[in-house]
Amino acid sequence: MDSTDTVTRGAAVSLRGLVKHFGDVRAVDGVDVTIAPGEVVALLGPNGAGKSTTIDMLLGLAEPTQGAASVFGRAPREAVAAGLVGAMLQSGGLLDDATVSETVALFRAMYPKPLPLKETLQRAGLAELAGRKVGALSGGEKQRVRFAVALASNPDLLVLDEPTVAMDVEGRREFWAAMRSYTDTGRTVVFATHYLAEAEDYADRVVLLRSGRVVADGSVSQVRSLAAGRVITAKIPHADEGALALLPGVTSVLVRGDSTELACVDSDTALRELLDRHPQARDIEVRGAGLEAAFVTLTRQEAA
Amino acid sequence: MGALLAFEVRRLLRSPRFSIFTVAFPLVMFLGFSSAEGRGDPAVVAYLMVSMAAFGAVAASVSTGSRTAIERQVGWNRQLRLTPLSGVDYLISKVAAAMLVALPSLLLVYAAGVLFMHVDLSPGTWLQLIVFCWLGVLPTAVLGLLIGLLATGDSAQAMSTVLMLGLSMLGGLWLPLSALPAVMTDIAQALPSYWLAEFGHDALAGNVLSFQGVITMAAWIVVAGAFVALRYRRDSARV
Repeated sequence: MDSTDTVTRGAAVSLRGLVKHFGDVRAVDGVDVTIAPGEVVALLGPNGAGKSTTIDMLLGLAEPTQGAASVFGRAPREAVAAGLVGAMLQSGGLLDDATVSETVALFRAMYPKPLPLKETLQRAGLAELAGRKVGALSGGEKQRVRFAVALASNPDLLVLDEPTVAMDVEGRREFWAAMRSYTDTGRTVVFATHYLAEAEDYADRVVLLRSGRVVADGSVSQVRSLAAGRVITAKIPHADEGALALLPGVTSVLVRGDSTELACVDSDTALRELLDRHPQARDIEVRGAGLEAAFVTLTRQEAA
Repeated sequence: MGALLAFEVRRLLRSPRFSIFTVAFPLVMFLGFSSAEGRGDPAVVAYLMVSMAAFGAVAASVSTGSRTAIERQVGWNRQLRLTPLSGVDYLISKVAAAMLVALPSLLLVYAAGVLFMHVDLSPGTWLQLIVFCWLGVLPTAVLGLLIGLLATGDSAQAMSTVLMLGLSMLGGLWLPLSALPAVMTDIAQALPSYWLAEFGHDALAGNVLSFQGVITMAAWIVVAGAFVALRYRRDSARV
C-alpha cells in the first residue's frame, strides 16, 4: 500500500499541488500540505502571501485552478455540509440587527450534531452577551460571536483566518485560552495569522507562505532553525539599506528609525565587515533569530 | 431552512423603515384617495383598496429582497456558505420571507377598508382577495431578491425604490389606466404589479382569474427566478 496515500486518507486536511490564479496573478502557486488530526497549524505569511486564498480553497469557497483540497478525505463542500468544519473568516460577516443568541442559534439549527447553545456561548465567552444585538458589540466581542458561529457545528476542524485581528491584548489572551480548551479535546485547528507571537505560542506547527508558495513547514523550532541565523541590531548613522544588504553574511536589512536590523546567516563575518565599513556603529546587539527573524529571512529572500 | 426563515422574519419585523414605508404609506394613501375620490361609491373604494393593498405588497416584497445586498456586502452570505444550507434552501427562505412580510401590508389595507371605509364584501370574496393577491406577490418577491443579489449595499436602496415606483406607476396601481393612452395599458399588462391588482379587481367583480394574468405572472417568476439562480451561483463562485 502506498504510504502517502494512507497519510492523505487519514489526514484532517490535505492540499495537493494547490494553485489559484486570478487573471495573471498567481495568488497560490503550488501548495502541498498535509495536516494530521489533532494538529494545531499556523499559516504564517505577510499580506498577499496567499493565506486567505488557501483557506478559501480548503473550505470550498474557491475552486483551485489546479490541484485539490480535501478535508477528512472528502471534498471541502461535503465536509462543510457534514458539519465537520467550522470557520472564522476575515471576510465573513454577521448581521447587526440580530442578537448574539439568535445568530448562534441559527447556525446551530443548520447542522446535524450541533454543540448545545449554552455551551457554544460559554466557550466563546458570550454567556453574558447573549441578548445583545450584534451591532452593539465591540470589535473583539464580534470576533467572539464569529468564533461561536465557527463552534456551532461542533466541528472536528476549525479554520480561523486572522482570528484576533480586532482584539486588544487581553481579548487575544482570552480568545486563545478558549481555543486551547477546545483543541485539548483533540480537534484540528488551522489558523492564519501575521502575529508571529501567536504562531510561536499556540501552534504545534508553522507553515510559512510567501508569494503563494510554502517556504518553510515544520515545528516552530524547526522553522526557526531553518533561518539558521542571528540578528544584528545596531545604530548605524547614514545607514544605506541597499549597501548593507550586500555585506557578506547578511540576508536582509530592516531600518527602523535610527536602528537597523541585519538578518544574517553568518553573523560573525557580517559583524566584522559592518565594523570595518561603519566604525561609528554603536549599541550593537547580536541575538539568536526568533521566529520573527526566520520570518523576515524566509519571506524576504527575493527582496534581499 | 425553517430556522433561516424565522430568523429573517424576526429581523424584518424589527426594522423601522420596513414598517413605515411598506405598511403605513399604502394605508395613508388608501385612506386619502378613497376619502377624496371614492366618497359615496363603494365600488370605487373597494377598487382603490385593492390597488393600494397591491402597492403595499409590491413595496414590502421588493424592499425585503433588496436588503440582501447589504447582507452580501458585510459577508453574511459567505458565512452562510460555510453551512450545509443549500442554494435552493437559501433562495426559498428569502422569497418566503418576502412573501410573509408582504402579507400584513395586504391585510392592513383590507382591514382599513372594513373599519374606516365600510367596504362590505362576502367572505368568499375576501378569501379570494387575500389568497390571489398574496400569491401575486411571488414575482415581485423574486425581483426584489434579484436586486439584492445584483446591487451593492449602497445602490440597492435606490434600485429597489425605482423598481417599486416603476411597478406601481406603470402597473396602474396609482392612476386608473383608463384615463391614460392605450399604450400605457399594453405596458401595464406586461407587468406583475398590474396582474397582482387585477387578480383582486377580478375577485371584486366576480370574474375568474385572467388566464393572460396567470401566464404573465408565471413567466416573470420563471425568468426572474432563473436570473436569481444564475446570479446566486456567480456570487458564490466569486472570491
